[in-house]
Amino acid sequence: MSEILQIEGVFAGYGGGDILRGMDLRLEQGTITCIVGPNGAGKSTVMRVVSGVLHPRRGEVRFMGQRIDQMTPKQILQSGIVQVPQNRSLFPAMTVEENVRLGGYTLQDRALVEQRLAEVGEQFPIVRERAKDKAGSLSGGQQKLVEFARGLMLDPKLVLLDEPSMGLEPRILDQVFGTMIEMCKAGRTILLVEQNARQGLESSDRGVVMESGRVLLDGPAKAVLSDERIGDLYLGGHVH
Amino acid sequence: MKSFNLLAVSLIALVLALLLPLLALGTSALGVVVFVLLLGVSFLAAYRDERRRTWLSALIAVAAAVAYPFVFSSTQATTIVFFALLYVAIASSWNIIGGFTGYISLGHAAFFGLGAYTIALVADRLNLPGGYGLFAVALLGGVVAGIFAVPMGFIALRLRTIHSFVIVTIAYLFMYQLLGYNLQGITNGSSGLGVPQPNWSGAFFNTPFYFAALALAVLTVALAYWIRHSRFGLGLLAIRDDEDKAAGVGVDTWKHKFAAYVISAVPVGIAGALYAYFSSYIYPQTVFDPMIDLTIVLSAFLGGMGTLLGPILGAMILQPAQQLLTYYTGAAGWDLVLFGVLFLVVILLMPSGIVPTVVERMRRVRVLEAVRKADETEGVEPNTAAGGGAR
Repeated sequence: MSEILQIEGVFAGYGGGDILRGMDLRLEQGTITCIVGPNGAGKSTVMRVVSGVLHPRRGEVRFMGQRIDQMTPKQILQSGIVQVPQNRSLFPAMTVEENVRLGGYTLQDRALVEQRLAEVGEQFPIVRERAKDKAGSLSGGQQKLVEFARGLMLDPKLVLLDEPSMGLEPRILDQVFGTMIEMCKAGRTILLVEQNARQGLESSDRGVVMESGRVLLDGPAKAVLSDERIGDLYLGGHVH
Repeated sequence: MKSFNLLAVSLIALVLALLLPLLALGTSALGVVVFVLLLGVSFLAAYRDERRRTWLSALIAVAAAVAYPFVFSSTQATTIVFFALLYVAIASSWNIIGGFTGYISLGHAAFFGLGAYTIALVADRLNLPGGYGLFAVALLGGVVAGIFAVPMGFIALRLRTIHSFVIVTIAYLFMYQLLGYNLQGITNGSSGLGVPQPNWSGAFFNTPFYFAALALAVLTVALAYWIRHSRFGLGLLAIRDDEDKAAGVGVDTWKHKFAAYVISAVPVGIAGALYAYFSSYIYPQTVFDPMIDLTIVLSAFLGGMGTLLGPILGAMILQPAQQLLTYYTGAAGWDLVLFGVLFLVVILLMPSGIVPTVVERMRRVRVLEAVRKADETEGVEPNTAAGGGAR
């Protein structure tokens, strides 16, 4: 398997000092990697650096061999990285279909948009079933699925999922994470940041524990999940 | 499904627009019969296919509007619908920036006046006679409005908050009104300007104006329809919903707003020119008139802002009502009282306007029906959970 994303020695922050301090991370193509860690560890900052919202002060980010750390968010989007943000990002007053179409807004080719819309509708039945309903009328979990669907309109190689479980009721989480696993099986690479560390790690191939802006522990998700120190520190005590 | 509602609403609009003046003017019952028949036929024919329904209802509406002046040729009857059609064009055009994009402009009367002064000045300076040729000059009124909209939009849209945008557009209107009064050398100040009149005689006089207004209304609605279903329109709706998120998915928000503003000025300019030509004389206070903006906004609000049919419906109801009130009460300002009352009623009873309210009601009925049917076939008691989920 080849590496699709490399983050090397990245230092980045928001003016008041660095949040990331020597961050290193490599993602294998077609895998799910879950970043966990306490608040302020820099999990979301990693996402911001990869999606181009934040430029690193030092270090390099490479995507499929190409430097992307100084690119604009739009260029990064077009190169094949899509982020599904933490908070609700749909347009509530627009229909589900319009929302999904907006995911492919940067595509000029209309036929391609229609084709992708059909594909995404195949993969996410809700996109077809509720096509003409206002996105704001869907439940939180349904909205999250539509956000996934919207993200796939650009047929990304790498999908960044920032806390997909946030604000969702527990019984819908299985569906959300199940969908994530299906996206991965379809050949996409997924980088996941999750507060709900247990469920995040259970659905992932690899687990990365961050603390104070760098990687503390990196290994197969199952191993991370069963690591005692981690269990005590970040997973709220006993894991098993 | 949706277009069936659209069809129903558009036909109601049509019937209201056409019957109101008829009933008021005491025209024979023949007209009523004809239009009720048309209505029935359209319902029957359109019931089968969705896409066809939309086209069919549009076709019937246009056909009825074309037939109208031949059936009811009295000057009053055609005048009232002439103004209604003018406002269909103006409100639909305004809807592109105000409804689709969410930037409420209260200064579109500026474009109306610019168009009006364009036709008056061009006819005067070039010594053009009245006749069909002046309709081409009316198009020029639209071009001039569009050109003026470029710097105006450039300035007004630099403001990120919609409230400030509203204020600036109001300022535009009064600015132009002041210019109209004070640029005496060009506008002739408060004495106004005349537009040469054609020598069409009798009841025929109104007919060319009527068809010019109809063509403008049809083209403007077609433009709005096209924008609403284009990628550009998708971007506009996204801006209305959340400008930052829109930028996030790659919509060039500034370009979109600017284009929408300039485009929406053009039909309003043409309408202003047609108005000037029709009414033969213009003054700063009649063409740079805040009442025009109130009528536009109220039409859109009443019918349903941001929908295609809303402004059409609103204009079709308000204009004839206003004309009739003026006709019956003289210039006593009863139309203003009506506007005030209507504004309150709309805001209190259906803040989203007629079209969205009706569509939502019908959708709910249909969903409940579907849920009930599904429950029946499965032999389950109707349960509230299913109804809740379908909401």
